[in-house]
Amino acid sequence: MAIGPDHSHIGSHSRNWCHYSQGPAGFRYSIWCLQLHDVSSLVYHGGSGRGIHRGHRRGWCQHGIFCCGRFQNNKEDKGLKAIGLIIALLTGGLLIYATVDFPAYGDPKSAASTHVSPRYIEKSMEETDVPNVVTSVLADYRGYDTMFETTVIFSAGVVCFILLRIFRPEEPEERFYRHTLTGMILTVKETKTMPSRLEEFERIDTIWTPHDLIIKTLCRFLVPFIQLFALYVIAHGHHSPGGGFQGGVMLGASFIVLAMSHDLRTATQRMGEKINALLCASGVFIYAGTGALCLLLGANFLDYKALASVLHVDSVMARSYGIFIVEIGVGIAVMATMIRIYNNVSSKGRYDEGL
Amino acid sequence: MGDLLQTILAKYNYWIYIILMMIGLYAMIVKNNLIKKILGMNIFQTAIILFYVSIGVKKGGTIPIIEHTHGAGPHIVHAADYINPLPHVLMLTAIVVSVATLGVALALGIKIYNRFNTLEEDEILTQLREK
Repeated sequence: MAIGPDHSHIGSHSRNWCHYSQGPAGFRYSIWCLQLHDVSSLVYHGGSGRGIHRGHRRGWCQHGIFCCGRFQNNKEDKGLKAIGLIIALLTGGLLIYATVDFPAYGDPKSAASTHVSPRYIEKSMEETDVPNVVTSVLADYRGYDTMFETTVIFSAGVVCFILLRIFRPEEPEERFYRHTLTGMILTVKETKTMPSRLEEFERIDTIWTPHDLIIKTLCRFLVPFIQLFALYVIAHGHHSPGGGFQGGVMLGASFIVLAMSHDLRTATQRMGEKINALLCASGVFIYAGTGALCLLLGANFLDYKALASVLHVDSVMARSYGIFIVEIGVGIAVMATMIRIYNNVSSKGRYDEGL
Repeated sequence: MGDLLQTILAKYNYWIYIILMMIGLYAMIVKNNLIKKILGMNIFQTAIILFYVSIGVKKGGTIPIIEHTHGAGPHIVHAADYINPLPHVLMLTAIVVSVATLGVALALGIKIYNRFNTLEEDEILTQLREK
């Protein structure tokens, strides 16, 4: 195949070309991306825009074949690189100069360790009955901070949803169904519906890999243990390292493991989008609601001492329980947000095919 | 020379965080691919997290979980025995928030990719100028 500057006729070809060139045909593939390169620098794999391929920035294809007409940006890049390097080095130099005034590593008398933290360490057990000072500072002494951090996470989930979620794709998509017994694959257009009663068919992704029994089984068995450990981490956050953030991330990870080892549809069947949204909001609501309840009971916002009359315990234990309630709220919010971000980003807002 | 080495070794945690931060900053400024910029941002965040956590260290201190036995009343606690919990609290939330912001950044990346069919900054700028 001739490689020359005259390949303008290729521009009319569809982008789905490289769909057929996956696999061992490396050389053909490289020539194709060479030609496609003037149309756009990205070559689609599998027809759905996944698998970003780049690599023609310096005039050389990543496969080692020369591409023409890609030189004009090099000079600019060099200037920018130099400026960037100078800025980074300057900032680093200034910071290194500032370290002269900083306390040495592990110095017990450093300003950070002598200002407020001794009060937290010495009074935490007495005031809140929570041995883990990190938890008591997180949810009680600095409760406002954590509440708004939770709100930030909630908003990040909402932003991902608003940016990406597509309810009706513009072009009708093709769906693939595989007959489990024979391995035959049916292609169904979006507009047509598949009779749902045919249980011998299973829906598969555009890029479908055969089932790996070991991975699937292992992940399926792993999920409940991950969740159990996550619940332990949330519930035992008073006495050992842990709490709502860590446990919530683990709970989210258990669903993400399911989505990665099976497919996204399996995971969204377990936790649907609406339930996810409800949980995400209710986590923040539990946190803010606990604070508001304290307000209604005549104390300051997030002052858990006021909960003593509701929970029928003394004021120290009330603070301990208040921290626990708040941690549960954080855990729920973080879990739902992690799942939502993964679902939206991995399926580009379509919720049909994940990674 | 030995004196300088002594000062560097006494504060090596700051050096590590500064070097990581410089790498992140350089990637954020110079790299042309938006995903690489996001990675640079993450390296930057990691450097800050390392900085904060290293501030909390006290020589001779253990993790900030007060020694306790079930049923025993409160006893006197010496702050010097436990490391500073405050940086840990701040970074605990910062880590999760950094994951959430990473999600938002990737979502924006997907939107940009849908619109321009590329994640290279110069190609996006060329396309914008053509319009």
